Amino acid sequence: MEQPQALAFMFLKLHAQGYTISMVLFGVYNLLVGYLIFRLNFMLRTLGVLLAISGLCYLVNCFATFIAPAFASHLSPWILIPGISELLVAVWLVAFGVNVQRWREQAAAGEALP
Amino acid sequence: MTTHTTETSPLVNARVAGALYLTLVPLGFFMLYVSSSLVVPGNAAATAAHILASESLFRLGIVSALLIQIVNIFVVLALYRLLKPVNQNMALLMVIFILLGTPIAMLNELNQLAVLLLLHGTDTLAGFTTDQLQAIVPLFLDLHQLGISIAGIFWGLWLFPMGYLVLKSGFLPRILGVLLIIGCVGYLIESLAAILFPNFEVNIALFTFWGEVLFPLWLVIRGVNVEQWKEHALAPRST
Repeated sequence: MEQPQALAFMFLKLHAQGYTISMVLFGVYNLLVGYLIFRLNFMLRTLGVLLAISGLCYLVNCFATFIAPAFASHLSPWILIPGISELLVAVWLVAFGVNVQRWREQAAAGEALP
Repeated sequence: MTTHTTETSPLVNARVAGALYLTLVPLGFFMLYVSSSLVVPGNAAATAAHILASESLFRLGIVSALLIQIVNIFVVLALYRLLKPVNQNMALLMVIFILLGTPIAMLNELNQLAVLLLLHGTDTLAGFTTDQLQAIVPLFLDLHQLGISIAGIFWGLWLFPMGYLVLKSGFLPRILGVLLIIGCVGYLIESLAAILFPNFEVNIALFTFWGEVLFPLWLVIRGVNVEQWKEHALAPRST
């Protein structure tokens, strides 16, 4: 392999690592949104649980990739399957929306918060 | 279904913020330990050998750096809720500064991941000899240090509004505010010196960062003066 091609390949792999770094933040985000969906109860709470699980899976995948890449290669792609919950949440929101009354109750209670 | 009808107590915010902030101290020292024990300045081959021999340690160092940034997000949110009544704009500025530093510090870890790619690159980077690959390792480690200097600008900047808010709060000891602002200046000097005067080793942050230890310790042990906090919280909104 020529040197420029070897370097190009290295940067492509680095780019993939960069994506994994950003997935750490995304995993935390999924955890938080999943918790909120469950807690606030104005849409199907199971979706919240699934979303939180997918967040945890992303985090496990990311940290495994950085600490023990050989082990991580066994996890992928199975550990990313719970990510389907993101699609399910989006579909639910479009198809069924939210329980407006419960949403309004939460919003009113939230006004009291700083 | 419980709903929040009362605010989270300022004492709870203070203790959560302090406890999370304190976890950053051992994590930060762990990162320093990893780099000081593995990197041999001026000797690429020895550095490469150390990293390969203690690869798990090196990888844990990378993960610590990422964890620190995630924890920072929760710390600043708790501090925002705690200090917002003093001056909302300054509290917002504190949040903005640390949030800007977070992705910079996280992406900076790509430089350390690159080191691992180079050291394991004997087959995928076959166009280079092992010596050549090992020689590039210090370049990425130095870039990583410079990346820390860039992120360090934000680690310094967020301490200024934090210190200001502590000074003006009346529910926290003013000396902590002064120490935080000193910490801000220390980080900024060290970061700018690393970029402007790279041959001049400035390690001032190790002396000036103690506000970042004493402030969270105070938050956990003594909390805040709740009466004074409530005075601010109930006062009419001002910037």
